[in-house]
Amino acid sequence: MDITISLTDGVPIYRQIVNQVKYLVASGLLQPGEELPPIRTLALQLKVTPNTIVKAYGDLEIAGVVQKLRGSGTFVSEGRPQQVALRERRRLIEQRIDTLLAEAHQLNFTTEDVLRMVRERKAAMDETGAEPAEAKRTNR
Amino acid sequence: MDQPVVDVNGLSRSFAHKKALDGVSFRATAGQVYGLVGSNGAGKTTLLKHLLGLLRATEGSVRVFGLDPVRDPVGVLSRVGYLSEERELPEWMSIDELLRYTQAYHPNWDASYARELLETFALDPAKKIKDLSKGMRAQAGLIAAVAYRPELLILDEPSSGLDAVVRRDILDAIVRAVADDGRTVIFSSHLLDEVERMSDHVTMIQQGRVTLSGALDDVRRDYQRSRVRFTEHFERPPVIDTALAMEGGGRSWSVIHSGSPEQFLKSVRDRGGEVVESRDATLEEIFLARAGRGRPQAEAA
Amino acid sequence: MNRAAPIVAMLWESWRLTRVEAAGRLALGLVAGSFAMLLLGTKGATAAFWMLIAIHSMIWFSIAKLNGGRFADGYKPGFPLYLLFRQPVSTATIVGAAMAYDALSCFALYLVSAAALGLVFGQPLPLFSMTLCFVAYHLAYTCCQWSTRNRIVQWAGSFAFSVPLLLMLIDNVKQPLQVEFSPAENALFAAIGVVSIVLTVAGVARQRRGDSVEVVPQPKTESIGFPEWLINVFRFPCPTSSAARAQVWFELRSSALPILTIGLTLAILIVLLHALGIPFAPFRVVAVALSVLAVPIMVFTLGANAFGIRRKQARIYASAFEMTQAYGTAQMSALKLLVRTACVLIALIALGLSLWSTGPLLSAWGSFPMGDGDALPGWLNARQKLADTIGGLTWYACAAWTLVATIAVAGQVAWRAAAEALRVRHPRLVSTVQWVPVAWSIAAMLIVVVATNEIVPEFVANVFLKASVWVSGAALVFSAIYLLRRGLTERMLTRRYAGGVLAISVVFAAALLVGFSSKNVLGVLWPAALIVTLGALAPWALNRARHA
Repeated sequence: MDITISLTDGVPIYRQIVNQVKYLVASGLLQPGEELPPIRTLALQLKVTPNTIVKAYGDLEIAGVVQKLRGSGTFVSEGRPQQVALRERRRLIEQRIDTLLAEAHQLNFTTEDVLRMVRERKAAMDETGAEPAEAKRTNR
Repeated sequence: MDQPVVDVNGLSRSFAHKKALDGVSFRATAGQVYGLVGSNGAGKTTLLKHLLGLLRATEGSVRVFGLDPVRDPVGVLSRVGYLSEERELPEWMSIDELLRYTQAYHPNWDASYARELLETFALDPAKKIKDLSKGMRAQAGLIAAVAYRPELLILDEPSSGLDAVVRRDILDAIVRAVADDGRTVIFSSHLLDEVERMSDHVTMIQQGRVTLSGALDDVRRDYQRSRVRFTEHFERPPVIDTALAMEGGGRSWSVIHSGSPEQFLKSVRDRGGEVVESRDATLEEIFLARAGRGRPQAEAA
Repeated sequence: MNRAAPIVAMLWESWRLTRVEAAGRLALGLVAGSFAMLLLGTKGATAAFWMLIAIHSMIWFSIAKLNGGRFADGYKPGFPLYLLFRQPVSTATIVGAAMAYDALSCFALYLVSAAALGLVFGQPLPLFSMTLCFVAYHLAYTCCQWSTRNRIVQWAGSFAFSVPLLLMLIDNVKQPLQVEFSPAENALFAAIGVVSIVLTVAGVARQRRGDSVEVVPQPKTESIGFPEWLINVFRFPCPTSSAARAQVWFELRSSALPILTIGLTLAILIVLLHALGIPFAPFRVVAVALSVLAVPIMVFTLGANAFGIRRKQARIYASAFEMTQAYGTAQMSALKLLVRTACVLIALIALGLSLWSTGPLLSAWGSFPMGDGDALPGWLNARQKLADTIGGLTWYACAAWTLVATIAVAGQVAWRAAAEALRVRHPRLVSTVQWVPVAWSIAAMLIVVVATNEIVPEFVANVFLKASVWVSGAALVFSAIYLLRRGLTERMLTRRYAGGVLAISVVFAAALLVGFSSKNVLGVLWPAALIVTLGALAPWALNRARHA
């Protein structure tokens, strides 16, 4: 499972794991029914305390993203995958918008300016056929 | 089960009239990793030495597994694994002799685990301690400290002065101790990213006092790092309520603050500024702020 | 810059490092010399003279700390004040100041004690006629120790010059006691001194150039006093079946077997030197000197510090590695004391056998010049007398004496171990307590001298001696009870340990009664209480060092 931990941006490690697993599920990189790595393995891989993984998996279970099966392990939930995916996708994009708006405000652009610029960028991209920049960047 | 693994209460200790520990209280429960941070000479090692009974509590009390490590060294030490920063290992021993000697003290020695670690670290058991590099000494000391699967693992600056490879080995050992056996780990470190990754609880010691202690996430949540823009140009950091440290210049400053966010916001607005962005502070930011670096100096009124 | 300032600073530092030892040597010389004067009558002056020579040059050779540290203290061979290499001072100045301080301070100590003894007892000792000989000896010795890092060269060099110098001195001692050297001899001494200084400066300059890397502090590890090769003479695997066995293995490997090796080597060396003395007369002096010194070396040097307390740059501490092993303090101290006592005893027995076996070799020497006469017949007679005395003892008196000697060695080992461990926590107290016997001896000496000269009536001296025995006896009994009680309540001592100590004390008292066939209660109670006190004090001290 491809997860990276950053210690510079102030997001708690367990939350980084939760977000990245949600992203992996939302983007289909983790399929429903797929098993997540055992706690010990992931802790050794990420060099974080096992209790952090326990906490992250716990949060994911409460959110309905994964489910623990007694005696075997932790699996991506089969049920309501679309709903989880939608909610998560919304949350991710909203985070980005919040940051964008804050930056725009600093640089003295109004929300209307930003909306206009978003449309212009989209048009320019469509013309060159380029992928939106940073589309693959893992979200934290 | 409710009994804490380590229970230190009001511990004070002076060396030659200099307070090394001043009313320190510290608790550790089973299955958790405790990170001890603080500047050099802040008292981390002194606290850990009390847990091992290497120092006698002159004021306050120390209990490990409910026992006094000074009155009952056998009861405590047989359940504790210890790796010191100075790795005080007898020079004349070979690694094999070191492990056999340690094994004799611990009937529950896990020979296969020791062998596995020896192979992972690619250590030659016939080699003398005195011929080992610093990293190899740490690895040898680590095997001797964990191979009997102690209930409490105490590591004093385990990665100080070591290269990245050996640091990984030590972090691995901590993860395994907790993941496989649900053991308790207490380690001190000046590498804050290590503490942030590895610990469930963090305790900050400064000049012999505990200035910060709690679950890492709680501690982090209590401290915010905000970017602030002011309309006015400041040469020196402006005085802001709840701010611990400020960095920057002119109109744009980043502030580490704790306590009520409302009070902070109001104070910023009163000075004609606005908060651009806020997030939880990292442990390093908290540490530097608490250590008094970049503390806002009194602004000329 | 004032050129004198660094020299003054260096001399002050040397004084600071050595003043305690200097005071100790002064006191020891005065006490030993006074005893000799009092007990030996007209021969006293000669005996006192040789004692002062030994104390101020031979036994300590030169001021120990300047000389690279104590015997078992992570000794770094070569020039001891290597930290000065970083200072902007020429090598000649550093070396010159240190050598001059060493030689002149030792000579000053000799001078003061010789003058004082001569004055008090009315038998003058040689004073300034000794100057060049004494100073040359010290300069040559420090040259051997400081100019090279090679220990073999150090030892060989020391022997090579000290034996001829000693012979020259013996040759020039005239009766009634005075020392006269011819101008040629004095010129030789001066030349030895100058050559020594030049050689040392050259050798130290080499170390200074090559030292920049080595001075960087190395990773802190546990170093014990014995050289690596000595520890590895005997290798056998560590038993894993029990902690006690592993600890015995640890003690044997780390200190006991090296001590045993040194003891056995001394024993063999003594026989060898006696044999070499048959064809080569100069070896006879060395053989006799080693025979006389071997037993004190064993008991005082190798029997010391059984708890392995470490010293590093004025810091005294217990080994954290050993102290964090899961082992009870009382058991640990009992084990360490037993192992150390056993190996000192074995080494002493070996020494005894070796000394005994030199009898035929001594007869083959024919003569041994000492002073004006032949000392050999007297020496052989003394041996014969000793043999007759031992042969005349009943078997149970023999056994009793063996027990008394064994327990006395154990007591000595326990006291030295306890003192060293207590130093970790109470350095001043221990230093003070160690001076009590010296102070008492001086006081006793003065009172006896005053009483024999009939300045005060004789009963005053008797009362003083009796009272001090009673007071110290009472203090010992009291402290024995106190230490045992406190140790048991604080759980520093186990019942088994306390019982063992009491049993040993009872055996000692019984053996003393049988051996002495004495009815003197105090004469038995006093040492018996001392044994209990030491037995309870040792784990107490280790406990204090373990839990500082």
